Amino acid sequence: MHYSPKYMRITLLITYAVALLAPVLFAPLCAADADAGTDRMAQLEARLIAMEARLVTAEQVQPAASNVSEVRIAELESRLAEAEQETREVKALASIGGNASSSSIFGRGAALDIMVNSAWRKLRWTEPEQWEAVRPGVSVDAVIDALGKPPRSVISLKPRVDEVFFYETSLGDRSNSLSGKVSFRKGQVVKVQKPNFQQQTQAR
Amino acid sequence: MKNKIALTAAFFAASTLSFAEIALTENLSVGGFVDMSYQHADDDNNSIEANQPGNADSNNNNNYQVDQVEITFSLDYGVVTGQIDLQWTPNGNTQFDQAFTTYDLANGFVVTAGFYDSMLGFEAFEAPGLYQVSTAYTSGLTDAYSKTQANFTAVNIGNLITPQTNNGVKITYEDGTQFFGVSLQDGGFFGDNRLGGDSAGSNNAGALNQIVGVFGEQSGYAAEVAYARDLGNGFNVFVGLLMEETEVDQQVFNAQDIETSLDTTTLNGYVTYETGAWLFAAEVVQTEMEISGQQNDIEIDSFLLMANYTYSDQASVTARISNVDVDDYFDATKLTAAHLYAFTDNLALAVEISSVDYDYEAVGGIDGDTLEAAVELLFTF
Repeated sequence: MHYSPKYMRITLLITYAVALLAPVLFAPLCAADADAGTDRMAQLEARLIAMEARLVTAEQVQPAASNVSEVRIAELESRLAEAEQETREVKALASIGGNASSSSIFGRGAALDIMVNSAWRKLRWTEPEQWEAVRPGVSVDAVIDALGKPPRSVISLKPRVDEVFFYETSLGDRSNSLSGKVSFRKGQVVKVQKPNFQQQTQAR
Repeated sequence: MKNKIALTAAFFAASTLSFAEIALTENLSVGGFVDMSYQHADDDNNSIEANQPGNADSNNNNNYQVDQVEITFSLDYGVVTGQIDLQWTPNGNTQFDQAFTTYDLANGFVVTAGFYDSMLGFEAFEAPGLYQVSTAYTSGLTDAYSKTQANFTAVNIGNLITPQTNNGVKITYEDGTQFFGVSLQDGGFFGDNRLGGDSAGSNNAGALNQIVGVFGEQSGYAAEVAYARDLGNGFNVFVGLLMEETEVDQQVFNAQDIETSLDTTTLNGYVTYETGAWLFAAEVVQTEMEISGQQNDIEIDSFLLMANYTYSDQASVTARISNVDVDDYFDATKLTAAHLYAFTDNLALAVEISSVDYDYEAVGGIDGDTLEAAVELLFTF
């Protein structure tokens, strides 16, 4: 589209006129808005002070007996703790998956999906502090309490070992996986091989 | 390889023992093993070689094959569990080795129903539970315990010493130091997949034929009782009893069938002692078969003595002597030396040499000896 030079000159003149008149016309309106904002701020401050006063009063008054039982509170706290633990486990898995080798047959997203969907495995063993309770002499039940049921176990063919629990995130991708094992003899731990958490931390 | 007794606590749960578990879901896990071997046997006896009068029969044989593949599916629903063992053997059979479900009644009591291994017998039923390649009361390629005699078809005597796997219901109790179990089964040696009633078959028909004669229908049931206790200081003791009642319609040529009763009683006891790197075991088994209307009962007395020494984290040696004596019919003594080396927790190599000296005691019976060697590779998963 093309405009003639005459038409363009008229448009410029109108624009200059509007620019000169605007401050004159709108200045009183802006002043009115500023006054309204100050008033509103003052009102808000007054409401806040009043709320604070009511809160102080409420805190000084003896609380009414709650109809929420202690059992219910304990149950909610337990559920919250479990949810927090699961969140930590999924984060741990995600951090491992984040380092998944590009050569893996699974893409990174697929690997994450698989690991997150494996949350039933009770992967608390991926937390280093969970291994502190696993020492020679402790029972099978104590190990399961600390680490969860193993993803893999075997009745050992070695003469001095009865059973071995394997805790592994991946067998195929050894460079990026966590792997630990616990050996038992007569129902007690005889050997512990903890996962190399330091290597995982450095890999991140 | 170790026997179930050496697993102490695991022994008490022997019927639900699986060799390995890979968790597939929260409720389902799978495990199993592959057993492959090379075996060679030389048998030398005084029987006359067929078609060559005057020549004593001697032969040797070998095989190199996968002997058994077993896959175990374990289902865990808390107080209810299930186990299905599928096995493949070289003769092409794929079958249930065990299939049962358990219900935990709490306080150590468990009810099991299905098709499960006997509670009796020191030696494990599967290769991963043995200290050697062979079991004590059988031999390998040229089975000295089942030679064909004149007018007498071969019966594997090893199958008549301790009961194997049967259908039934059992209740067991265990705490940290003792185990008790009672089982009601369709049979012990001659199970017919029924509890009473008449049926046309038997799980051990060949042996039953030899013992009572040609038979038609049969009816039977059995009960097993077992007790084990950890005596402390490395001692464990086990006693077990099987009582089986089998009613058989004995077929007589050109005459009416005769109802015959076969009562089988097996008494089994063993003691193990573990001290340091040594494990010692002693077992006796007495199986007695009373046939109504016959004066001569069949009595099979067997025993084994075993010593196992673990000399490193990965290796052990075992020596075993075992004997089977069937009154007025058969006597065999087997000497076995074995070495086990475990490369990893789930891969092991076992080497064994056995010598069996056997004698069929009837007039003109076979007298011979067998030398057997075996190398076995065992993989569990």
